[in-house]
Amino acid sequence: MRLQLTARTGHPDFLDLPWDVPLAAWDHPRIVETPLGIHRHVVRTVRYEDRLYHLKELPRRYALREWSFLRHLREEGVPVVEVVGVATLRDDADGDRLDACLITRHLEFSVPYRLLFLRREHQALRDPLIDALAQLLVRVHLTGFFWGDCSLSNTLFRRDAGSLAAYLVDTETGELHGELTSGQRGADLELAAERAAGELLDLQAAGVLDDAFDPVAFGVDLRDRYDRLWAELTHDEVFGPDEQHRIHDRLRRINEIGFDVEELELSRGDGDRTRLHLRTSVLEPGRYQRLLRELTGLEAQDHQARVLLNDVRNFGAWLTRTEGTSLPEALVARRWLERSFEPVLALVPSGLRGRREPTQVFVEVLGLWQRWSAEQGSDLDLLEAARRYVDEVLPRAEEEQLVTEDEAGDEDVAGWVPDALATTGALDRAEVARRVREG
Amino acid sequence: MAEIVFDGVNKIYPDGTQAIFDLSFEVADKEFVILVGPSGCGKSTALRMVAGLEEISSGRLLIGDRVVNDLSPKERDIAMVFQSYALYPHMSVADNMGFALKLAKVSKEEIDRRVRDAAEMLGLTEYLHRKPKALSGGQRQRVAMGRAIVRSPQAYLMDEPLSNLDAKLRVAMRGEIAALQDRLEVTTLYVTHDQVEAMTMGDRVAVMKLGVLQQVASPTDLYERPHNLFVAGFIGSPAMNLAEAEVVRHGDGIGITIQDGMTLAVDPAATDRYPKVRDRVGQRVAVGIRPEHFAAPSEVADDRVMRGLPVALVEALGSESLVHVDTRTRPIVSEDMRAAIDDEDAFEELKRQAAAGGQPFVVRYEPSRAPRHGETVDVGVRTERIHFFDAQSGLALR
Repeated sequence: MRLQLTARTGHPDFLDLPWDVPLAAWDHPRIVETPLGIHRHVVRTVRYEDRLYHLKELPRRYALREWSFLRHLREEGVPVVEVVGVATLRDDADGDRLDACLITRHLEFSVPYRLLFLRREHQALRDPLIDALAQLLVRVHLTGFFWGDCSLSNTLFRRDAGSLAAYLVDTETGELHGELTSGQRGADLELAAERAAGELLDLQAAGVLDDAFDPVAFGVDLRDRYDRLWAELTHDEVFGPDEQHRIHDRLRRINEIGFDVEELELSRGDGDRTRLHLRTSVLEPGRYQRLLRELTGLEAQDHQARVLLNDVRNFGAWLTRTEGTSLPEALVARRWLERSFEPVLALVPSGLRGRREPTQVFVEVLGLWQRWSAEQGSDLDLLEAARRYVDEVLPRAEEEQLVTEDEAGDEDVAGWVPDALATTGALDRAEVARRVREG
Repeated sequence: MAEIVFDGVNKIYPDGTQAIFDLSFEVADKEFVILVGPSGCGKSTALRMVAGLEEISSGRLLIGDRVVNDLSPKERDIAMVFQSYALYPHMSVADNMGFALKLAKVSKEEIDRRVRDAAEMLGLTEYLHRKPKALSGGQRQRVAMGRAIVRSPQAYLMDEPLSNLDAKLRVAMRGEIAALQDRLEVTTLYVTHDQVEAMTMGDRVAVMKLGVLQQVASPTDLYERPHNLFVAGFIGSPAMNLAEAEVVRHGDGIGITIQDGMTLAVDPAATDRYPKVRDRVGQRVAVGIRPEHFAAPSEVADDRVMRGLPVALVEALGSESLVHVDTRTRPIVSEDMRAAIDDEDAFEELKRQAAAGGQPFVVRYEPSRAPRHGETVDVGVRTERIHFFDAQSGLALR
């Protein structure tokens, strides 16, 4: 049997899998069923200890393209799934060539859009979904990548404080350019709006999505949101000699939407007016995530990072007041980790850790601490708020890595239930079954 | 309906790389033209320029009577059919076909009418109320096509729409798309890297290499009258056998010394098709022989037989056998051949063979007459069908 498998280090070698059999026919103990979007290809999931990997079978040239695109986009800081391997030159027992297989790591705490709609109030999901998708498409386009297949199915969503963060999943139809033309961006956006609307219409046909939800308007708003974000990031600004502050205003606005600007291009034409031009290649997304990582070493989504950075600053101000001296930022961050972040997370019992990502837990505790403090008219102790959260809120929160039987009304999810229940690693099957029964 | 005209179109990227060189050709109204070539030949770039997904550096592009260089994709009234498509599992076939019109705010009555018309054309009328999972693979492909049809565009642009399908379905869909285009009578430009697909589907085929249009012709013309070595080597499966040979005088006419000690008489019909070969006596040229243009020695004159060729491989395909015989002919090792083969490993093998002083020829046999591996055979050559090219420029000696 012939096989060529390229796998990144830090992951299993996958050599125990039955590569000489078409993926659809695999009957292997490592296979688990997971809820996936609408796919043109066979996609299966395998489990190695506590990690899940998705395998997608597709023609070799597309598998190799996707392998290189996903790696490129990740290097460029675009939120994409992590590609860990590609199996090519697969032969079956008769020596006939099988399609290649791309291996990506499951994005923990992420859910496909169908499951989001099964779990959450639909109108409340609308704006976060649009924002997340528009932000993702802008970030993809800033790198010169034409997606060609942007859709809800080709995206995964994670909680990001009160918002959602979108991750790109599928790039097989993409193209990498130096910079995209407006025609390319427009066509990609048009496709995204059409597909998202189609997918939502499909959810309506499945009886999952409220009839009050307007998929057509969703597509229209996605276009608007994208256009506004793109314009804010890239439009040329012309100002007079006494309007230098407009440079700072513009940079501040760009920072506020989570981007850093590496360099500016200022040119003076006829008269005294100056033109500020931002090349897309100098815009660096993930400003707050980067700042948080540098300061604390924590990985977070964009909105989570903003909340946490804000809390580090507040903690620093409190330290200055109580200790009477201003401490360096790095020291403040270390003390914040030791006195706030880590003690709060330590209160979460192992059985509840599959419900929220650690940073999301802290963000939610902070939100409740503020609310409960306001209600009682004085500051509640943060750890006290965390205990209440762990006792009263987290047990009722849905498992981010599981689905319940109630959620299994959607046929794409239904098949997943039996195996997915055991995918947390933290719970055994009987315990999960009991929880599902008890809601 | 509309024609598509490339008029001296160039594509130069900001880093100076030129992807398309002075491209000029026309897809007539209602015509089905296939753009084909190896990877990097510029075929997808050309298609994407029509779609408005690539800017045109210079030259004019017309759809109908409008110059569309500066129009957005939306303003061009074309439908792009990609290799990717998704059918929505909970929506009926009718809704799957018509939902994009709903987004475009087309009235319900109009959507119904267009979906019904398209379904009739696609043979899907009885499935309109079914869900996609009740359809076969081919029917699902037709639904995807239906989505493009209901838009009633001026032209269809198809970018390798079949490349994701398994081999069996791909073959079936080739025929379906060609028949559908014929019924729809909508101008269609179709890109593929698969020359078999190109030869079996279009009214005409445009062959490109490294951004330069090599030839636009009907499939038959391309096959029988290639303009140059690249087209000769690229079009045809199995590929044309190509070798260097010396043109010599032979009786009243000319012959070719195709390997040491082996001269074949060239039929005057070949020199009538390639008259410039008569001026090349004493010179080396490139000659091409298609696998089906060999014959049993008894069917040709004695001076048209290649003798003593060992059989290296027999591919029994059922309806025919492809027999690989070892020859001591000199392969053509050139950039044209590298591009035509479009496979670096295969080109390296060709270079190795050239250095070793020989190469296999592929000969098509009826299965009952095919020799066995290890035998030595004599093979007649229908020299009236030989092709001649300049060894340096690769141009046909016409």
